Amino acid sequence: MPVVNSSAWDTPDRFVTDPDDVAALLRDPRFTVGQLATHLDQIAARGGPRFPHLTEMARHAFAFQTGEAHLAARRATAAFFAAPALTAWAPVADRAFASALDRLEAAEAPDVMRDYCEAAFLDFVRAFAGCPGGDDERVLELIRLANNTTQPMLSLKTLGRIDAALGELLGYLSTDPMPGVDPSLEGFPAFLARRKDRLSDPAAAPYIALSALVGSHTVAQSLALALYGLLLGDAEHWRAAAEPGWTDTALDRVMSLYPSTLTLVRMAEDEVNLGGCPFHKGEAAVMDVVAANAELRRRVPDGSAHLSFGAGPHKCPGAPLSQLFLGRAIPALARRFPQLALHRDGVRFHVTPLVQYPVALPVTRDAQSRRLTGRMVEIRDLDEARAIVNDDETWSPPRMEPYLTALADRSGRDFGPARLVARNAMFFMSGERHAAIRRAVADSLGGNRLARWQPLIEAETQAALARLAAAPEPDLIADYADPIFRGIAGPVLGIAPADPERFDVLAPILQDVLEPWLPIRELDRLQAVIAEILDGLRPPATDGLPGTPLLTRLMDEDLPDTDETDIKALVLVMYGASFNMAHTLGNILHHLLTLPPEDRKGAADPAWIDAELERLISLCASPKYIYRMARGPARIGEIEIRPDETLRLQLLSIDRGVGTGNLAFGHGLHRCVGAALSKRMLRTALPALFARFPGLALKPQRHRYFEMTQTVALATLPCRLGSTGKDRP
Amino acid sequence: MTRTLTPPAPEVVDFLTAGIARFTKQDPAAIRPDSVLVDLGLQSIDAVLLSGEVEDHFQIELDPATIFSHETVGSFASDITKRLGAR
Repeated sequence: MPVVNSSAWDTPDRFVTDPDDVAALLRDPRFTVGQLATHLDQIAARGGPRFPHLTEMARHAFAFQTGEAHLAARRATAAFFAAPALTAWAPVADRAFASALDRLEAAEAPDVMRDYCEAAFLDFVRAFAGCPGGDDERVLELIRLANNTTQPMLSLKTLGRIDAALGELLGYLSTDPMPGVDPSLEGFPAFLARRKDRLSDPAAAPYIALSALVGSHTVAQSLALALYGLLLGDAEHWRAAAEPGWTDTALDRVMSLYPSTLTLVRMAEDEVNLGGCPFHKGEAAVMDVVAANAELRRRVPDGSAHLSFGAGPHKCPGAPLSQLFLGRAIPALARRFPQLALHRDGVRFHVTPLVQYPVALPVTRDAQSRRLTGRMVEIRDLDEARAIVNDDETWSPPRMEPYLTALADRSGRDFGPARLVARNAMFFMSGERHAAIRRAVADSLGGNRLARWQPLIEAETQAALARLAAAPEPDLIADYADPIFRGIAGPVLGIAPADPERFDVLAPILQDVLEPWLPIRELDRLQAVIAEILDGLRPPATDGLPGTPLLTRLMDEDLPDTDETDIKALVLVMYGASFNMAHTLGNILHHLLTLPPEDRKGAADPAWIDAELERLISLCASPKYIYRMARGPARIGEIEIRPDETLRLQLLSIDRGVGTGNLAFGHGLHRCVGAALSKRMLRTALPALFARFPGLALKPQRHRYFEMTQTVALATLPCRLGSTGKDRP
Repeated sequence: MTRTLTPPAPEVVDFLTAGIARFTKQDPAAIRPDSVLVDLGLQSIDAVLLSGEVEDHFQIELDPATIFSHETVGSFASDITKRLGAR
């Protein structure tokens, strides 16, 4: 009997996605679970190592058992996992959530997976699965590792590490009553010891208990994935989880949307034909649980019909436990931290062909403005932020030019190019020169002036769609967001580098201009790049363009105290800022494609995109902060601000799904001059993509973020274009 | 949640005390490990210059923002000492 071959996951188009086929397959006796026992025997037969604990797990853990032994073991243990028995464990779960919430409250760098999901899981499972031994970090590490046992074709090294982990965990199990837990509550090992006679093989008890301990980590995985999905949404969506009755109305859908299980797999024991698909003997049938659940939600929108726990004899025994755990953990977190905000660019995932779950969920706990350091106060409240950006008397933009001049004097170094940029970066400007330049720029980039550029925007969008369609490994950043940004920003601003390739390599560093307190060595690197780029700029071509480039127009203006070099620097800085067009488009695409298909049905419809745009921008705009400096002593709420101190307006908490009136593009005197152009690009590029590729989907959690402190920016966003509308959702 | 502090190395404390005294135009004797950096009048510009000097002198990378994440000279000195150890 051959073993499951991991190449079965290389052809997603052959996955079984129809829920009826999936359920039938899971109940069909001609399909069997992965043969871990056979795999281990084959390794040993070829002179490979023996894995004693894994061998026992392969015989006694439900996931690998088949036939009568499996059914007998399931019958003997069913009572322990059934819903009625679990209600007695609810107080143990609630205590675990309460102490995890305190831990999250006190954590210096709060992370909802480490400090809440896994902390509460371990606290609970120590009693429930009878595992008092070992220190917390060690036990969790071993459980995470052993939870991968169901993954096909693991390396010998990994099998060896799992085997050792299982051996160590066995030593931490106990049948003794757990301290601090109601003595009438019996842990799973004690339950099994008491009913030993009903097991077909009494020696199985420790390994059945061990598989429950390791297998139940999936509860923590799914809780983390559910919180990731809920926290990606807007604040209102999150606060709803704190409302009484949320569990009754919303938990089913959460179970359908956020199982950490991506796929299930079975082996055909002989020639089988199922749902029109032939499977020959020994072939692996991979079932796409995410797609099957999406189809079931189309039939039953409340999500109560789902295959997250599988079906048939191997249906997950932990289903009632998941319902209890997630049903209480999510409201408890939402009530304690109603303003919880997720740093999506800090999220990290563990992904295999079978599962996906977050391993890091960094958060900001509340929207309370507070002092961060001796020189910086962080603003997280929308009303406070709006008052600050509207009050130019008290709060000025960062005064970068005088700062660099003083730095040059004090250090004796020449910061010429850096000061040229600081002088001509609109976000650092103040007063009459700023107002004059703003008026001139608005003549080119103001909303009513941009209609003439629409043909260029559409042409660049079509070119990017063609590029994406032709890409062997399509990536929504490299093959869509970036080319559209470059194709628009260059001509509209009038940036015409003599060596475009070299320019595209250097230009991203322009984004560092915004970084406060840039170290001197970075300042040197930045200004060397600026000098080289400025040298390489040519007068922009204007023929064949539907409008006049900004640089050309500004050269004709009579701007106060601004010569040609200033204008080139001004437009170059705006090109640096325009990278946010690509980053925001990328973030919105990741957001939309992470949503369940039914929540983005209108994505191909320009009217739907238009109605959703402000909310999407508030969640996905790439800039993380707006900075202001105190012109004099000031106060915000309880916080005393000293002159020249820096305020950092944290848009994540301020804007979280505010929709219209968000501060993603700022407000008032310094409102982003590129806002209209960005929105026009988004209104064109978003619907065009979804209209062209209705079956578009992300490769689960394969995206990567740039390590940038000021910006949420995706480096890669790999996708599957999907068949154009055949069977995909 | 206080961070367990590595005892600051004397040469680090001396180097910082001399630098801060120079930037804030004070007598080095007035600067002690428990002196609060902000109360000494250390400005953002001083932080950028000082961290540049620390980088050159001790051959480590030091983000200027790090200085202000510390309350006192001693806490900042122990952070640098820890980075020297890690180098």
